[in-house]
Amino acid sequence: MKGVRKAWQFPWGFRESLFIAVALYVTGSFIQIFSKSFAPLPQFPNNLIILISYIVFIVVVRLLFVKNPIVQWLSTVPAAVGSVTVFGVLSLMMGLIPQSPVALPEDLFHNITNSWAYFLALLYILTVLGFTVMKRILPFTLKNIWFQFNHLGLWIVIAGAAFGAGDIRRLKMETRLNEPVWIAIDDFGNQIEPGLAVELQNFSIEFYSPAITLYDFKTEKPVKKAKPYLADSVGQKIKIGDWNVTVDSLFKSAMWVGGTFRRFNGPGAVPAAYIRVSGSSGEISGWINPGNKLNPSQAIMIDNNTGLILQFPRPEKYVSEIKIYSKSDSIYNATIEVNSPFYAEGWRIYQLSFNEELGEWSDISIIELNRDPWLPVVYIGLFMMIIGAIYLFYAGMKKKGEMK
Amino acid sequence: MWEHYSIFSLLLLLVFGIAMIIVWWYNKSRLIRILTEGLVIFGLALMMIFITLMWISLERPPLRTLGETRLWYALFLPLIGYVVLKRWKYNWFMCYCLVMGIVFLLINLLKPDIHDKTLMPALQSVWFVPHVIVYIAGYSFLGASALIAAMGLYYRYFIRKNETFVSIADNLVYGGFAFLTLGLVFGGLWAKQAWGHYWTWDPKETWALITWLAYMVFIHLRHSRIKSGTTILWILFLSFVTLLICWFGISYLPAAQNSVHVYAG
Repeated sequence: MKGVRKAWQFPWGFRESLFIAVALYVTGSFIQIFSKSFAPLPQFPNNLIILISYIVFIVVVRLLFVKNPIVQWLSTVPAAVGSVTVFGVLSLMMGLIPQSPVALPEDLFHNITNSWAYFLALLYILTVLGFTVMKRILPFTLKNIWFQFNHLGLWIVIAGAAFGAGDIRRLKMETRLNEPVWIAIDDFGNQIEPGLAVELQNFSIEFYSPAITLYDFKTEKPVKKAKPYLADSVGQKIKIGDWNVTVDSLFKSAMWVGGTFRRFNGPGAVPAAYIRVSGSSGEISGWINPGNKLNPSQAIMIDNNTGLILQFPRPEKYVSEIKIYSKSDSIYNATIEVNSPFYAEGWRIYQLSFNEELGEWSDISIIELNRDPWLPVVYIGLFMMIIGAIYLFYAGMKKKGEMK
Repeated sequence: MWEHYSIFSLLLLLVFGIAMIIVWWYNKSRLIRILTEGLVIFGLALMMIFITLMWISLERPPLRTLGETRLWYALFLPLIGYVVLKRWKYNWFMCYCLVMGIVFLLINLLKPDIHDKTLMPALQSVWFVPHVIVYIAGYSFLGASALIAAMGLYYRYFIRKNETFVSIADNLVYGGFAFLTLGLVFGGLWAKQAWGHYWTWDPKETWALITWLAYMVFIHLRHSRIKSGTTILWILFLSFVTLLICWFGISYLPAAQNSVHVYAG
């Protein structure tokens, strides 16, 4: 831009692109304030109809008006940079301002993903990316194919995620032992019948060993310098800070009865360890355990502020065995755990949580029923981007860098 | 395993330290060339052995705490420096990368981390290792490109020479951006398995997206008329600032107090 060209004189450049970006943001904000509403979130079949019309629009406009300077500009780098920038600025606002899905439309800053500004920014980036994809579809050369893995791939991801958002269903269901449940709850607390019933058949948790930790009771935090140790066997000798600790007795699950801990497998039990602590000032010994209603917590104090405590063990994994009944009379038996959902009748079923107070004796298991019919579309785009990224890495290595 | 870290790291500091000094004569003498490469390769092998032993002794990948990830940076940065050294003979760049590796080793030596074997259920996934490793590789590439941007800006403002370092930064940005893309995609695929959706605007995700978009702008600008100049160096440098915020800055942001991505320890 040498200053010869006036603003809005063709060909457009960065100035116009950024101006459009700002104009879209302002327009979006005005629509939102005056209409007191969020951007639309169309559902099936409307979203599909709108998406197809939008694709037809891009293809037809590109083919009919290929010489039009605005159409040409839409597939240039300045247009791309402008649209990426406005999207980036909105992301930056989301990264700096805590977001809340319940913020009202009058509040422009706390619910950005639902805002009109975000909606228009998405439309800007999709339009620019769409025209860019069209421009490079022909000729069908190897270079253009790589180009499409990155650009068309990204277009498919954004389009699939944005247009499909209205069809996503995420429901919570509290399943109970040997009792089929038909009702689930959505994010707003509405009761919904997903068309599946789920019965909890068994729930189990595996724990890591409890950790012996040096704890500062004044700051109510573990002492950072001392490394916590997992207590996993009797006779274990460990060094915590300047103290030598010997584990004389260890129960993963015990109850405080008659002045001592006894092994007990049942609700209300806690882990407990009898330890001997020796240091320069002598030896102390006693029980340590994390507390609950039945067993108050105990620590071994080393000085006025710090003491050794036993922490509740962290769960290693929790597993629900469930039975799923569908409306079509099919029955599925499944085992679900975190990171390992089960798929049936269009729903993905996830392990969410359990009754933490009862721990492994929990008689409920909270699961999520999750439906996203557009997921395959998004995945196609993501896999195209993986291939595109591998090419990009290869291209980067091949490029000859030089210092001038 | 961690209790042996001081021995390992002192040996590594010695090896990388010598290499960092003699690499300045790399292009002058054949003997120095062989010696430097030998030291770097020996150091990298030592680093790999230590990480492997850590992995075995922790019974989980050593990727959960910042201190553990610093081990990987101390591996990847000298590795990238070595590749650039072999390919373009830039000994100053090798020196940079060794210095960075030494810094990471020193931080771990002076400020040791807490290491325990526990790994929460959401982290127990086949995606854990690839997701974190591609990000570490990406950050290493882009960290190296930021050094080049800083060098370019220094030349412009203080030496008043218009040396453009941008074109070698291109290679590093392409590599780094490719890894960031893989990191985002792997993260999305993992998130679908673990939390039920591929994108939840968790603060770390938001900042990873901002970083990705910043480097995307850089790549597109380099494709157009803005080929060099101070602006592009600043954009490259500021992109790395967003990366740093994403990497560990988010722990201090009010928007990120409930992030699921905060490092343990």
